[in-house]
Amino acid sequence: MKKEELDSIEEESHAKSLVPSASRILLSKPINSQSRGLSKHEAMRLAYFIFVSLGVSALVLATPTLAPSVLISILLFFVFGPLIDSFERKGIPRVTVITSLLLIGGLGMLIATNKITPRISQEIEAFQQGSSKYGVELKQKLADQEMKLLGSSPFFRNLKLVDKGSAWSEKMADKLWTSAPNLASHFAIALFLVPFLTFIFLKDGHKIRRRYLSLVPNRFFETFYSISSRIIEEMGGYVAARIIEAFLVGTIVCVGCMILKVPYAFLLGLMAAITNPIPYIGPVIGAVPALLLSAIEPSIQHHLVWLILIYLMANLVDMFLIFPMVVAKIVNLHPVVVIISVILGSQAFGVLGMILAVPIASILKILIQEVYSRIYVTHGPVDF
Amino acid sequence: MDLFTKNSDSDASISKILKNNQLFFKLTRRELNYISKMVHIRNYDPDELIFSQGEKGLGMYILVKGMVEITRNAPEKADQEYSVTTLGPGSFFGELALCSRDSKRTGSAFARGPTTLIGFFKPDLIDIMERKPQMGVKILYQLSRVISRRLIETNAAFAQSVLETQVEHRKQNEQQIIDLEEKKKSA
Repeated sequence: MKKEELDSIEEESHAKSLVPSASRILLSKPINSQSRGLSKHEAMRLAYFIFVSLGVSALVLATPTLAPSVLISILLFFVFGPLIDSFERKGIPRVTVITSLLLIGGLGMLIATNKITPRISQEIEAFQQGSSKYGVELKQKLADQEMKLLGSSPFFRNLKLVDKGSAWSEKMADKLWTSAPNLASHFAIALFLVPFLTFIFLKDGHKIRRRYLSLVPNRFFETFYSISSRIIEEMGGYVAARIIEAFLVGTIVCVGCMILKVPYAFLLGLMAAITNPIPYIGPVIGAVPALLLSAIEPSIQHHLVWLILIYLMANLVDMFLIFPMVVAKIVNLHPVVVIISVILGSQAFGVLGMILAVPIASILKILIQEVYSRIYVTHGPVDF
Repeated sequence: MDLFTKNSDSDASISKILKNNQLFFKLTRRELNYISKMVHIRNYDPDELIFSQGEKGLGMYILVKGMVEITRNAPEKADQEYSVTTLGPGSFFGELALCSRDSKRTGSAFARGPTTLIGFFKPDLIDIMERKPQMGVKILYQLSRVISRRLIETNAAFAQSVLETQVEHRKQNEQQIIDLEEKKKSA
């Protein structure tokens, strides 16, 4: 028998059960209304699903050594996932691509450790040595300015803004130095955990997700799967775009500072990159260390205009090239929503809250859209 | 290295079921193994609702074990439903949701007896198209064949229904004419 004949026979057999014919519809009799509420078994399944979800989240978040590694691995999964997919599309096995990527990443880290890390360490050491000198100078300059500006009124004189500010900064610096050993130990653990977790997420991410989805009660399965797929799709693109954007802005600032022979070029680039994901005010916060440095470091005072131009250029490239081409296409939020979410994020979790504000707002937007559309579609008019 | 799948026997039986399904029967053994690791096995209690009419659909189901009854709401009485058909193992339903945006389920599906279904959803199809485009093309081609056949069958059913209605109307008109003529004669 020819292959086409086989196909048609197979299709015939499937067709029997596929479409109800008009006569079957006409002959059918009314049946009793079905129960659509949640059965006891389903309610128990829902409770179990919520318990597992909250339990795992609480376990990860409550373990300070585990939480950052899991978070970084998830971020790396979002960054490298599309790249690995594109190689897989060309027929290269997924495991080969992931292993090669991790080996290249490890090699890159090794080179970075040898070349860049000593430079950053030198910069940190130099900054530590000079920080007391900078502190005194900065305090003196600010006090002079305060006297000039506010000295006229006795009310402002009693405020002692510089004294209060310096006390606060000393307290913060103390806190940072005391938490440094703790941070170092977390970093050492993350160095081992992150590659391992990233490998697992990249290789078996969909299997982990399928296992997790199997816990969802039947009644909510399609809704949950649809929402989670949309969140992963949008967040994946957003996180990858933001990391690439931060890296490019940091690189422009770092290279510009190196050309101008500004001290602490790597630290300034790093600061610009870290603060860049904060919407609207991130680039300003990133530029503050450079501006403060230019006020107290005599070697770069005559480069001030150039320094401002570097930050301006980095942010113009970001605003007009990187953001519209990469980020804005992915998350479509109204500026007012972005500002409100950033304010709420800063109130709740500080800088981290500001960085996470947009992704969280975007997740909420997807949730509202999906739930609304499901309610509307279910209860709206149905076309036959 | 497979860290999250221990039951390869169940994957093999899923592959076997998928091979007998019209959407997947063109796939190679390797491709079927790949799909069997993607699909979702769902178990239903007797009389449990699988999906509801008018609900937003995400994908299709293949019946592995048990029976599924497809019902539709009665147009005249909202609290009553009509049984459209009962499906047995090997059948599949809900495939339209795979390729339409915000599609509504045109009927409700209920499990009759303990039922096991294989779920294949839109995100799974998109994932296959992105990662294994050749496999995605095979599935989409088969899906288009299923949908085109459904369209032909629906057109035929619609034409038949229109014809029956016209014949009915003609009979009614003829009867009315006969009645009028009889009334005239008697008058």
